[in-house]
Amino acid sequence: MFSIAREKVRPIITFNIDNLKEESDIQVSNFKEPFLFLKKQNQLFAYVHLNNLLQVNIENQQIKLKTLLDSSKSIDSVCRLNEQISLPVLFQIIGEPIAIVKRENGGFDGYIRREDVLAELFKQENKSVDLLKIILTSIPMGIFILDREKIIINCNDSGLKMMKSTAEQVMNQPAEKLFSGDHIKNVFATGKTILNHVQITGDTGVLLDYSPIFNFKEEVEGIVIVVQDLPMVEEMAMEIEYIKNLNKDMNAILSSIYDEILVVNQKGELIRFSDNVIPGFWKVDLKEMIGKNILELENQGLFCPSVTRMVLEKKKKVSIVQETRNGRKILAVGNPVLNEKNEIDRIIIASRDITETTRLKTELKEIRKISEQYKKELDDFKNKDRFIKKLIYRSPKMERIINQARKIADFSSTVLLHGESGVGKEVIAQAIHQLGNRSSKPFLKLNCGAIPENLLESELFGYAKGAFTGADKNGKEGYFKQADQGIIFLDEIGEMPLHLQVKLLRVLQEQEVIPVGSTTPIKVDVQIIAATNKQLEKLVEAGTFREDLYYRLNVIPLHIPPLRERIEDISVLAFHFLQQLNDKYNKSFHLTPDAINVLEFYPWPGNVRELQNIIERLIVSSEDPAINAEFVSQFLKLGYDLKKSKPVITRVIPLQEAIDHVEEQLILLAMKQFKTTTKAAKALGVSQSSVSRKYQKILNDRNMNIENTVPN
Amino acid sequence: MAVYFGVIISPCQGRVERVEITNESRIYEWDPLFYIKTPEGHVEVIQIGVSGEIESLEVQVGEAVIPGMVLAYIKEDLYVTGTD
Repeated sequence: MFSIAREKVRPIITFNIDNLKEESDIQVSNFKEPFLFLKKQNQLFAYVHLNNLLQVNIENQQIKLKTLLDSSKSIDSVCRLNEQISLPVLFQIIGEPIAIVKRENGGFDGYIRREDVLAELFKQENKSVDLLKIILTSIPMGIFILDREKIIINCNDSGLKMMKSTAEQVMNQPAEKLFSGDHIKNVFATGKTILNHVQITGDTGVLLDYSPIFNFKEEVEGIVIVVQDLPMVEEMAMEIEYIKNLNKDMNAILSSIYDEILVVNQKGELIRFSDNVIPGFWKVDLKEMIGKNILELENQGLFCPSVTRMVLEKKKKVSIVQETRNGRKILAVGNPVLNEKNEIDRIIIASRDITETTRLKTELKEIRKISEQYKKELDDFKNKDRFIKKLIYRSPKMERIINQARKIADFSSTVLLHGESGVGKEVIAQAIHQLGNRSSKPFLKLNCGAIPENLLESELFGYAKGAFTGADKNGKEGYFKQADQGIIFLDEIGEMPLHLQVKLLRVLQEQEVIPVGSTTPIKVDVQIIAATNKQLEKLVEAGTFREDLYYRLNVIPLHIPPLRERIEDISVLAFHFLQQLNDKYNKSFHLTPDAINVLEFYPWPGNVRELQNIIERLIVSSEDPAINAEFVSQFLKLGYDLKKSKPVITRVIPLQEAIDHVEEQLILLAMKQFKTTTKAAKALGVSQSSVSRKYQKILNDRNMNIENTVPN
Repeated sequence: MAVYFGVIISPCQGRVERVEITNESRIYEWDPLFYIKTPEGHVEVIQIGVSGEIESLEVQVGEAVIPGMVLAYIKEDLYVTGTD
């Protein structure tokens, strides 16, 4: 606070313009003060700096009122001072060349010139007022002063705060560190002020004005940079930064989901595209296509069909699979973005390269097909295996026969099965059918001995329409015709009448049949499996079986040994049949080990069939679920059979050895069956003492053998 | 992601004459799915060798189609139904 020296206050000279016209001339030399105040209706309204005016119109000292008014300045901007001046008022003074000094009662005391006020200010030594400092610090804006070398030579605290810096960091440093070097250069070069430049760095957002400082020669000597801290700007800056990051993330996310994304406007012009694009899809650089119409590409034949066009036409989502030049498959999905009026505003085209997916899918399909095939084949094998499992055997002899049957199954050769009644010839025939490639075709069984001789012919070969009285009027297909592509099993072939043998021979030779009463042969493709329990050679010798037919049938002879020649099979078969019956009647019969021994000892003249029936008989008759040897032997009439059938020796061995062997077997068997030597001796027809002695010896030998085999 | 679905695409240009499926309907291999009438006037039957569930139906009766356009997305079965 300081007061104004009274002598510096100058009188206000007023000039009333109420009665003057614009054209009126005014003699200005009359006015001694440099400033003239204009009055209208008794109110000061403007002032004129006469010195400026007079420099121009110095010649005649006369000025038209219009000129006066034109060069006048409104009084409103002039500051009114009390006699006591406070510092903030100083800033008002700086803006105008003069200030009006008010009287306490409200009237005007006079005016004071700016330089006088300032001079007055500098005189106030005791107050030590650093005006510049005050000016700099009191402005709520940041101010940086640059010299000719673009070095920051001064700044205020607000500026430092806004720029988030300290005086040490900026003072006497190149301004480019903080501000735009380009703008600074520009101001120096052009002398023009750059206003409202938004500068956003990491965490600050400020509004900058670059203003030149001119010297008297109108050269730019330095720059004032005014910094405005706009919280809004900073917020915006943050938001922009956030959006930038978001954009980056979105781009990354989108590019990992899609291979290419395009944004097109409602006219089909490309607005933007994703970072990554599908190579080779567009024949042009997408950068060049920005702002251009994508539909043109289609017209130019650069690529087709255009999703954009389809979306524009249909106004809904459209997906198209397109192929690139290099044969890649692209799935492009065009999604319209609608505005409030439900019109298309934008189209987003998201594309994905599905070449790999398609290829993998095709491969998968192929693999699936192959695995299906494998599965089928495996099932096939399993089925065959299952069938083979149904064949119950354990003996190497049967093993050999089954292996042979398996081999035969792959061919369509005629098979001649030979074996005693009940050995399972039909089972083997079925096995050949099941294991072979005719398994899906018919298997017909015909017992040549069971059908009356005169019917057999029509059964086998069929008959033509009206062949004989009582025949079906439409004729009948024979077995051979029915079994076409399949297998016909002729059981008891030895029973076949001679005259049919000729016909059968014809079928075998020519692969065709002539129905009864017809002359036209019919082609058939039938595999024949014949079976007999007779020695066909002997029948040939006796003349009841045609020799040529015999040789025709005897392509693959298969001899099925009787059950007594494959004792190993007896137990498994017995268990199998027992199980079958147990399952069927929900019983739990079982055979004791000694019962099995008895079964194995029996010669089974009726073979497997007999075994099956005996088991059934045992189950039906037994009271006890455990079927033992004693019970079994009641049904088998061992003695009788023993006397009847003789031991069979299949190879030449020394007589004594054979006798010893038979003796041992007999004694063991008898002891097993009768438990006491007395009973065994009776059954064997020798003395008790000799049985006892021999049995003892056998047991001793056996024990010795066991001991010998025990390792020390 | 839609991308892992199978697509049923139009092999020809034309107009959808009949649609035999709806959203979420189940299809089997070689079922007739779409009938498309070509500009030449003959009707193309769209069938595919996969079975599965329709994920989304992309066209309606009367709509114009072009070669390559996706008619429907299908979620394929991972097992073989084996009707062929």
